[in-house]
Amino acid sequence: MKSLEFAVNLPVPNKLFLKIADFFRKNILFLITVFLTIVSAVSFWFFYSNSLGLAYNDARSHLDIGRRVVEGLKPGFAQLGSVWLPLPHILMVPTIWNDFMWHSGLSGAIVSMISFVLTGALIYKFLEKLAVGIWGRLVGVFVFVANINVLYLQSTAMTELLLLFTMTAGVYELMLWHKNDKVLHLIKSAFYVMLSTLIRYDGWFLFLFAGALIVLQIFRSDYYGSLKRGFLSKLKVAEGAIFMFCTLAAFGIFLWLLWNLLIFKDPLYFAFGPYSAHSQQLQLESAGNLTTKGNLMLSVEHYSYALIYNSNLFVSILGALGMYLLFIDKKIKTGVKIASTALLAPLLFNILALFLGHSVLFIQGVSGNTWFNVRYGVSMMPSIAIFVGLLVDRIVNLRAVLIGLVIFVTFFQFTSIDAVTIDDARVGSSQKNVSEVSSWLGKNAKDVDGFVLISAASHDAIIFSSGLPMSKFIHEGTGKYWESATTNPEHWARWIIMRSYDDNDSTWKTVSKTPDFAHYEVVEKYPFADIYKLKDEFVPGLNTKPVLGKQK
Amino acid sequence: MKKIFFVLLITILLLTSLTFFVKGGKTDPFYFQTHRDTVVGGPFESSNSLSRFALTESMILDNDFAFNEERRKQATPDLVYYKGKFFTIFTPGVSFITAPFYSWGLQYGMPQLSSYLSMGLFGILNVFLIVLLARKLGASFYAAILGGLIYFFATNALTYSLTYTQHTLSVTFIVLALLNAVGKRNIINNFLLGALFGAGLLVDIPNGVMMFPIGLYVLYKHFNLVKIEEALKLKLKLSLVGLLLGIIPLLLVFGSYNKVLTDSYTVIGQLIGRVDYLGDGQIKEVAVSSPTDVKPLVNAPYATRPLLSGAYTLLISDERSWIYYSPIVFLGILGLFVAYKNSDTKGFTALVSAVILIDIVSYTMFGDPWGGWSYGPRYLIPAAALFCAGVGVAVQKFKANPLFLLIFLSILIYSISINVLGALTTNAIPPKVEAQNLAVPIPYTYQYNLQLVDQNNSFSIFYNFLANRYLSLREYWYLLTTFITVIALLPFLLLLRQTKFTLPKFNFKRP
Repeated sequence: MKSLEFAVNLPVPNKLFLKIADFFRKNILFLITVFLTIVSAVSFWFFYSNSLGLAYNDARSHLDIGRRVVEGLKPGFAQLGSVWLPLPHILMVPTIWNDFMWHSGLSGAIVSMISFVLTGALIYKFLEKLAVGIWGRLVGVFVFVANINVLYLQSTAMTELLLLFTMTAGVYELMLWHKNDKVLHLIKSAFYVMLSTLIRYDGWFLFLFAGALIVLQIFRSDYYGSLKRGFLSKLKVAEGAIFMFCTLAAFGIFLWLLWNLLIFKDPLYFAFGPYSAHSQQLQLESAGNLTTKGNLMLSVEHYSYALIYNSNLFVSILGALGMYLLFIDKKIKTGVKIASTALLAPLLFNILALFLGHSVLFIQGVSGNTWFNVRYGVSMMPSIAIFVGLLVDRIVNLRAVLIGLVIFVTFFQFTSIDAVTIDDARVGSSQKNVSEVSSWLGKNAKDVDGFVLISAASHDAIIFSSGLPMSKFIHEGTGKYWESATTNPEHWARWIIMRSYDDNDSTWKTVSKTPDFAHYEVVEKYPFADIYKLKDEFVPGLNTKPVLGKQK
Repeated sequence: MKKIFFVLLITILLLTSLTFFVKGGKTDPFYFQTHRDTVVGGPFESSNSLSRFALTESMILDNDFAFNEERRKQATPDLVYYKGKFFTIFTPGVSFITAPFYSWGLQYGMPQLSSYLSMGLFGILNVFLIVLLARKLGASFYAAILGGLIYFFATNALTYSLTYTQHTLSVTFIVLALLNAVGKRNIINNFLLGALFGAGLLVDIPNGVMMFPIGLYVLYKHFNLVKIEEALKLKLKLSLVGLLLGIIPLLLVFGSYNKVLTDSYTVIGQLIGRVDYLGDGQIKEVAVSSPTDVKPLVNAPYATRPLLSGAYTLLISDERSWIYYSPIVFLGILGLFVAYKNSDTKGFTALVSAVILIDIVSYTMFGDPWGGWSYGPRYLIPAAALFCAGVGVAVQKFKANPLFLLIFLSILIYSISINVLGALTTNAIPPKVEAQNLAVPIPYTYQYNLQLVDQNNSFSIFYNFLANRYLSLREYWYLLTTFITVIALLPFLLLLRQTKFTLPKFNFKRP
């Protein structure tokens, strides 16, 4: 029996339908960019209105660094400091002078948001260049965009999204150079890699990795002459390409070393100085908390956990399968495959950093009872998104199944608010609930003349959360103010915020040894810091104005 | 004719095998007909079974869905208290479907045996449904039978076909739905599919999730976009209405059941939460195990944070995974891969894979992947069933490869032995964290079952009233494993009869 059919005429004539389809086809990237912008803005608003945008202690510190460049007792680019690379803070400078942009975190978040949109667009383009069809490209973008950890971090003043953008752009251009040998792509790749080297040290690893890939490509590709004709001629070509690449790509590294030399008199101050990660790691190691150092399996395990928790296991597995398909796909040029290995650079860097003890990562339930730096796992998200997009494209008959399951899992990720980066910010070691100290300051020091002496290295979150202007604070970066206040505090500091009996707090370390310290009384004790106030009889001798003028 | 005879033979052998496991009292085979003893290894050891059985009894004996004093105690902690009524937390499908068996058995003083036997019969039905499924995936007749037997004997389907839980019926409806989905989309087939969907939901809500891909696939087959001159026409087959005609009556049944108990068509026991019954109307609420400790946006049973630990528990760990309880299932991946490569079966294989994946993914995201005190990954029984169909395909493809045969036979015997062990002793193995915190700790793996074997502790009627005169329980276990392995290998040997053996190589290309 023939099945009864009921025919419905679509309200759109075929010609118009085709025009619409054509419009979408030609402008899909623009439409994706618009969509990503809307998603970015909505996400920012959501996390901001839930007071999560500034939950990370580091986010507040980044914002303070940017603010100190434009406002404070000693404003200037020297406030960019050391250890943390400068580009995220430099990008905040045009907007952070505004109090709202500073205290809302928008000054830093806007950089992350733009990076988020651009990274999403790059994922689309990357997949397009791998000859992935429209469904695969859209799924790839979806996997990146619909990741709650990515959406959270792009709403904050953290540096992850900016790093993801520059690294993905660098790898994308490198892949294009491998694909068509046009030198312009190599220059663009060098530019983005250079930017990434000024954001995080992951970029430095990418620089080395990309350099190695360039040499490999030149030696294996007949475009640069046959190896049989002469090793030396190939070597010359490789030398030239590397020189051209490094001149631009390594420029950021060069500038950073120079900066450290000029400001701190030591080109490696960022690596070995008192506030460096190295110093932090030494302390952790002495406390037995650097378990991954020297242990490759543990390093792989910890980073794998971070990766899986950031992306969820199902998407991670799909990404691994997609990666496998990419590398066995005969339709993709070998050079492109080689270039695509750079997508694994974040994975390799993080494992190496853990192994060498230059990085620390706590996974709750695996390495203790808290989270710390688990957000490092998000570094692989663009790569995973690209791999998943390719997988969905290549396995045609399972496409609907995979898309359905990705949507299913993503839906429940959102309903359960499974965002390990938020957990790290709210309850992990990356958070500091300094609201008690900062509220006290905001209430008691706001309308009273006098400076607050505080270590920015230890208590940047307090400075941020107090809501007070940066010029209220005397900290390590204020030059002569700091020198004077830490030797004669009673002439400079009406209040001192410090962690008592902790020599890691540079304020305590210096001030507690001065005779003036006896002229202070403890007014409040809180978990993160104690508040000392100058006794009333010594207030008349206090400097309350920035009398030391412009300092070099 | 030969095939029909073989099917009959297999059916007889299956029924015979079942009798070796049927449970009764150790001194009185009909003990459990009148006693709701929750002794370890007995038919009521798990509240999953007892709570559903309490509903069946309540329906037949008390003409009520709500529980009296006696049944409240039986059903706890799978008990709900709402607006003055006590009832089972589970959906009523198992009780509704097996109620006729209970009634029939009641006439002969064997209501428990007859009810539980119905699960065994559905288990045997599932064997043949999987045979049909394997045929659709490209397996030959004997390879398909092998796949069906592997499902029944080499996975925890065997142990759970001796219980009064949802797993056996879930497999029935899911496999029937899959077989229906590849048929023509006429009103009758759609009606049947709708009814299967509704019945699946009645048996267990997650069946709706697992059958969702089937529903989507069938829906898709009803639409057709056709270009006619300058216009586009969307053609929709009216037979689609058959789906509604099939599902609505059963949803009404479900709704009516809820209405009687909760005064609402949509409020179900699982949304209300469990209570412990303390007697005389006193209750204690049982804490809800949430998949995550963050307050969710909506109360959903799934979350992604437990995905990693759930996957580990269900697929790798010694607590519940297939690796330890039925590794034979993994050969199904090979078979599905072969079926996928075949253009004739590619689409259907994708659909089967979708159901498998959604079963695995959803339960790895579940707050309790262990399934409480259970034997093997009980929530993955539907996926195991579908994989076993794939095992048939794999054996069909690689039967001439000695290396494959060696692996296949080794893990088949192991899988059969483990599941026979469970069927003879107990299904109630606690999760590791609970086992280790008991007043007297017990193993959290089938080591516990081995302890029971060494204690000669089984409720198998056949063993207690016949075999134990001649054999220890361990010997009985070995003997049954051997017997069942022989049954499983019957179709396998017939398959091998015409095989030419080659050197080991894996060739995935079509001949």
